[in-house]
Amino acid sequence: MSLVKTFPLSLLTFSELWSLVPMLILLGTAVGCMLAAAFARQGAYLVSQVLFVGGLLAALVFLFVGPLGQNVTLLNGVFISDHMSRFFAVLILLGTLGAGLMNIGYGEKHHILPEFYSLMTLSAMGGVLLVSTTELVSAFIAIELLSLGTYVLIGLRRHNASSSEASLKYFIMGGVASAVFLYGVSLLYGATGSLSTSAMKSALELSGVTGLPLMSKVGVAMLGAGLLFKLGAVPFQVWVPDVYGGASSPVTGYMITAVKVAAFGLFLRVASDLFHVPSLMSEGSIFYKFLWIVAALSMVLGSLVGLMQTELKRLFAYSTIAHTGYVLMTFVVFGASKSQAVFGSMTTYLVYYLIANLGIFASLTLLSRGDGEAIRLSDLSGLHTRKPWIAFAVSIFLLSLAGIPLTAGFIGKFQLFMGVAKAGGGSLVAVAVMSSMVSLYYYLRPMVYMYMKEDSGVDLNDQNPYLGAFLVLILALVFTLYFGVQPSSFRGPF
Amino acid sequence: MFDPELKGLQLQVDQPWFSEVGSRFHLGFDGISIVMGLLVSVVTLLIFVGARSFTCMPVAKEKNFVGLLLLLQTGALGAFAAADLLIFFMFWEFVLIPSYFLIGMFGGSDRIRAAVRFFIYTALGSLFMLFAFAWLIGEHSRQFGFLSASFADVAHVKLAFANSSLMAAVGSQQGLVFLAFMLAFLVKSPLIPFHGWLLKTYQEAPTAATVFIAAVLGKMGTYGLIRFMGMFPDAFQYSHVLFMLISSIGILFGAFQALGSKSVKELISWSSLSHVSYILLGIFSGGEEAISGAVLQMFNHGILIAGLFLVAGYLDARRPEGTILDFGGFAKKTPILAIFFMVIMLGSIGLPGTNGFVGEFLILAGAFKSHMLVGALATTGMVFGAIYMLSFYQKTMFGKPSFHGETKDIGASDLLALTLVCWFVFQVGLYPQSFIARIKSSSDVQLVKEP
Amino acid sequence: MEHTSYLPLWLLALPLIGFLLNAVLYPLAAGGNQNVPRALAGITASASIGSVFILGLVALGDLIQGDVIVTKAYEWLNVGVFKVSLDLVLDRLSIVMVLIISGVGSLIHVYSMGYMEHEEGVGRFFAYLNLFCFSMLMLVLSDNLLFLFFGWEGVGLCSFLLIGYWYDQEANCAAAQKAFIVNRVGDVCFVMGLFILLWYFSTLSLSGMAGLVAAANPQVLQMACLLLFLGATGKSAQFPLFVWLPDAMAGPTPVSALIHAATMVTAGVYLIVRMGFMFSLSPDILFMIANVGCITVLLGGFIALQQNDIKKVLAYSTISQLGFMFVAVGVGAYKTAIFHLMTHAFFKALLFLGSGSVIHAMDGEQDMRKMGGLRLKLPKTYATMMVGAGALMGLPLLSGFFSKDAILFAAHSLPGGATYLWWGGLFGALLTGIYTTRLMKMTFFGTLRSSVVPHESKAIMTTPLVILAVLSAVAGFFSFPEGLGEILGVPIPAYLEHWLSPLLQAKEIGEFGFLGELGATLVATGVSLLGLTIGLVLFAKSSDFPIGKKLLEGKFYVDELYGALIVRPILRMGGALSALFEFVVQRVAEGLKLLAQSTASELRGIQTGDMQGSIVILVGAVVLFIAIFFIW
Repeated sequence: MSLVKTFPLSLLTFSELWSLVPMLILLGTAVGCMLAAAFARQGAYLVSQVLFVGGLLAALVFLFVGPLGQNVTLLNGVFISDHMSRFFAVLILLGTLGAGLMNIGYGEKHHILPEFYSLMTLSAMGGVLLVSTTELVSAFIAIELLSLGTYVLIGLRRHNASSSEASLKYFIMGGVASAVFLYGVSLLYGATGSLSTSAMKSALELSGVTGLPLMSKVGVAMLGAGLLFKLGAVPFQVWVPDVYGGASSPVTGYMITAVKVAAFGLFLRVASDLFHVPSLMSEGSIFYKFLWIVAALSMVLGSLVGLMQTELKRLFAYSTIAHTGYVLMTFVVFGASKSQAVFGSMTTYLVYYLIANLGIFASLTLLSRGDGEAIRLSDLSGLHTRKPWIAFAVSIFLLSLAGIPLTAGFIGKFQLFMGVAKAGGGSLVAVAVMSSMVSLYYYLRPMVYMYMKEDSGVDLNDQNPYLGAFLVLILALVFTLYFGVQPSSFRGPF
Repeated sequence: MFDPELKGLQLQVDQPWFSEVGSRFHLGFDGISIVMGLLVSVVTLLIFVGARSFTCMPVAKEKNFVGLLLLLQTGALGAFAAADLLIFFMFWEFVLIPSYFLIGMFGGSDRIRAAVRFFIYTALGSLFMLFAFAWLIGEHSRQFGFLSASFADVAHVKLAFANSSLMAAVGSQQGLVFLAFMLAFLVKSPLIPFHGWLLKTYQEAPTAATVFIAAVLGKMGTYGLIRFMGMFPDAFQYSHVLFMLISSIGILFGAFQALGSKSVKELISWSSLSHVSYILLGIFSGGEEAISGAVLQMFNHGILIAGLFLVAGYLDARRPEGTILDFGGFAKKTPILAIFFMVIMLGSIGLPGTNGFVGEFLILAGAFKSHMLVGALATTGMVFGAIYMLSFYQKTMFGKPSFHGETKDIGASDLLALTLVCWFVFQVGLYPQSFIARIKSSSDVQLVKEP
Repeated sequence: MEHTSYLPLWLLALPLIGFLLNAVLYPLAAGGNQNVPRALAGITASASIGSVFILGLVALGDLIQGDVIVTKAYEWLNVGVFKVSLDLVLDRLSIVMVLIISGVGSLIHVYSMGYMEHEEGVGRFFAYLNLFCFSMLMLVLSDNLLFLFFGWEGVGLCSFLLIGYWYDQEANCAAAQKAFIVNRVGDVCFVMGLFILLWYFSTLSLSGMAGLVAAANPQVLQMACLLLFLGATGKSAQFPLFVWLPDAMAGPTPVSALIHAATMVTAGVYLIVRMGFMFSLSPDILFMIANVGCITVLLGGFIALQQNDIKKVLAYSTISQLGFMFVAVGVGAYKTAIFHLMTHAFFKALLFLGSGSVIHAMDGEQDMRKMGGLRLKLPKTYATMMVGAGALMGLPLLSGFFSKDAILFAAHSLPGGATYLWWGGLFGALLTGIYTTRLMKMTFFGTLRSSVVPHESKAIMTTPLVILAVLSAVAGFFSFPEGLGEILGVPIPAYLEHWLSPLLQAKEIGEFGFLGELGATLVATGVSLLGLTIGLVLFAKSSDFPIGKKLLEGKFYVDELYGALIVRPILRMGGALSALFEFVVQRVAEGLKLLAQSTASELRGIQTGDMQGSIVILVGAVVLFIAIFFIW
């Protein structure tokens, strides 16, 4: 029996193979890092770091070069390499690369095992797969691949109690969410008879205007819940502060940027198909109202509770919830107006969000306390005298998150608000404006401590400058200011 | 060079900048903004020349201080020269950052609360303006097809307005956007209900920074008002009497608070509030005379308040932490300071022959014409203005010296700064046509139709 | 016919140059005011005013041919309907005012060189005096009402500066501030009047308005005239706003003589005479002016009876005499008002300067109860002040007699007048007689009631007194009533009458005709003599007025009344309102902050650390969401 008959895989054309190359490189890097960590006694960190950076850069190059011919879809939708997937893949890899660079030096000091890099690559591979599939089951696989890597990454700081607590918590809740997601997928499969979102869309439209069968509605609900959990939107955001607070700065940086972007990629993929079903998502439907409430609540909760935080990482966790709310606004508006244009401003916003957060977490790594405790606001006081450059960078990133002009954040936020307003989401924009006003306060507080208070004398990693984190910081600072002054938007596929 | 007779924008820079939103990097000066530009540069010169003597700090901090002040100047100049909505908003918000750090890092004992309050108040206002801008640009693209955020294009946007009832008026499109603009500009200028930040900021900020914040930043609010009011004719016509009344009350409110104030800076802050209400009264009265008067008064108030805060700085340097009663008899000890302070005081009272009078007269005439009673109420403000200013001057300068420390008179650089202030006091007072000719050419927008 | 020349501009520029020299150049050259030589400052100031007087006389020559000298200086402001340019008009009325200001002014400057000799840093005093003359000339010469207002507020400023000249005493500063603020209250009404005229005629130039006024609707004119009159009461210390003048005596005596007797206080009268073409079109405003004038005459007269400070008596007498001028203007006798203004300027300046030399002699003592019997020690001052007092009382053939009598006669003969105005005026003249004799008796007769050894002032102070005495005596003949002339067989033409007649409307002779005028003069003489005798009899022994002594001494408690009724309530109410307003704004801000914080802490509640709770929330949300399907 020939192999071909048992595995009726048709031979991959060259362009299909070409589109798979980034995934293969990532796989190779992951395996290489693991082997390096296992065998190279002393140079374990160095070798895996070099392999990690090399591999990711190669993958990025391939993604940038883009497809030879037209877009490629393999196994009717399991893996799609189109403009959107490449765009999101690039973002994810950038986030991963940033997080990895941050870990250089930091990892050795905080005894984080060298396996960090292989896990990070595997997780990134899961993310890339997540954004390049329309097949819900393969999406589930990608989510699991992505999350498993993250569960372990959070727990890698073995001597730190909060890290292991966070990883356990994230693992269990992640499991529940994945179960809900899978159940939703299966219900939808039962209702529509197919796993790919486009097929589902056509099946659901057939069911006529009267209304969807109950099973598909529940399926979509479950699917939505799983996804919203991954995004950390409001009803499912309880884990966000504890997990982001507990994990080490590079890992949180990775989760806030790459994992979130991957989740949004999948949501975008699902939404662009399923939201077209009129009975499912239209102005008056329950899903629209539910999504509206989720977006509004995330913004409000993200900005309000953030006021009370004294720990920096938890503060930025809440700020991320608020930003998830802002991005969700585009999906709400898309649900109502069905115009793809609004996603253009979303992608731009995601880019600037990614840059700002990478910068913030790079500086947090640089400022990490000797005893591994979480950095408190009061530790920052008087920083501008000791570390003027990092203080300046942190202020710029804070202003960018707050959306103050001359920073990329403002351009992103203005374009997002305008896009949503133009597409008819006026009321949501009002909520967004209110919540960004409230969040102004806690974006200012670190600056108050840094510039306006006397020196606290806390040892904030004054001796060893982590070069990787410093590089990420500088790059992020340059891009934030550059895009602030010379705005160009990354409309991505839209 | 700038030719006063020509209408419209001159000395322009126009580059493509942010095409998604349709905004171009478009700067240009017309009659009003050239006068404001002059104000910004003069005030900055005053700070660097005049405020040297009393802002003594270690060199390390001094370079930050000077840096931030120069950032402030660029921000303000940018805002005045902006001819594009987004550029205006960019500079408007950008000015917040240096002033926030100036107040926070170099201010008095309670500087942090003051800095945060100042930032939140203004940022709150400007977020409404952001909302209004987004709406205007969206409306413009809907009505004209192409995306553009330049003042000229956006001015043609027609917004629906219903003046059947108050709720209808506020609810209508034009009403909503008008209110959003008003909120942003009235918080910045400030007008009374939104003046919460004024007292704390002016008191806690270092005097040199207060000079700039009081003299220039406030003017960005009133400048914005003049620029954008033309776009909402019906909403303006509907509500201008109400706003005139509020500003007249603001004049009296500022005067009474100044009467009761203890410290020198507190009194000057309240007097600044009272004078800004004059400017707002001028703007809301519509009419060419009133608007030109308001613009002229913006310049005058900028110069006068800068002079007053410089004097406050000198007084504070000679008698730190002194309330008004602790001074007294300064005319004997520092005669030159007394003379210059007298000139500035007369300017702010609005004595004919000084710059204050010209602006005030035009504003009050305009207010009188568009609403007799409100104009009369505002004119009484002249009396209260004289009362608190005179009693302030008398308590500090005349009477028995209440302390026996040796105080030397003001130094050479301070003298130079104060002469510059007095030069403008008399130049505008005795020959205002030089300024009015420039302002007139671009302020002939007839806001209030003839009744 | 009108011809332009730079003469009026020079009239204005000279005092300005004097001011700049004294205020800026000399202190700069000499390094501070103290070491500027006293004589230099005095001479520069007097020279500048003296030269204005000489230039005035030269201008008098040109004006005799009946033309008007105009200078169009520069366009001050031109925006919208509002075109204002500085053009100075020297016509017959303003030349009279210019001569009075510069004539009396230069005499007072010379006098104050002597009076202020032991003050150091006198440059400042003379600078302010010159600035005052500049503003007064601006007020008198400017054709545009706005520049008239320039001068109006300028003189207000100078009176503030000069009253508070000795600023180390609190009382002087308070008086200066009070003067400025009461003036400012008047100026507010003045400005509102300006606005009405501006918007109605869309011009503020007097020549421009003169043509348009005929066609104007009387309602607007009435409103404008009322407001302008209220402004004038503030400046000329008439009934509602006269409280500041007595306190203004805190300034040096030459200041009281120049500003608070001769020139500034007459600005209100000049304004109404200058705006005669408009006021005459609103008769009931004029009638109101006459009544207010009459009230002020009586009020000033009564209070002056019981004042013990020599300058306070003269201050109230000035208020009363100004009342007379307003009566004259009220009844439409503009020319008589100007005539009385001139004569009053002479004899009141004389009385003030005389009292100045008395005070100088008594080393600053101003209380008459401590004076007495000075006629032997200060012969020249005594002689000149007797002439002045006689003129004030209106003794026959002295200047006061002619001008006051003309006013009384006009009061009831002219159509605008009323007989009760005449009676009021007559009673006022009686009161004048009484308090003047009281003043002279307490100061110069009887025995010296203080240990001070008075010495006669030097020549530099007494010569101006003598000149003024001559003027007070002779001034009556400037406008000698023709009727009286024929009887006495010496036909002296009424120069001032003819001089002003082309400009101001002719004074119609009332129905009593000439005989009436003769009768009225006799009655007036009788009254003033009666006042003299009452004064002598009443104050033979004690210096107190028998009835209502405390009421008069307390100045009818007008100050306290104003304080209680107007000043304090406004300040308290204003303060309370603004404090309340501030409280509300703070509460709102605090409230918002608290709201945000409390909701934040509520929301934070659900962020409990424990995992089970979070999973319950997670699953609960999903279940709730699905449950909704069943309900919907």
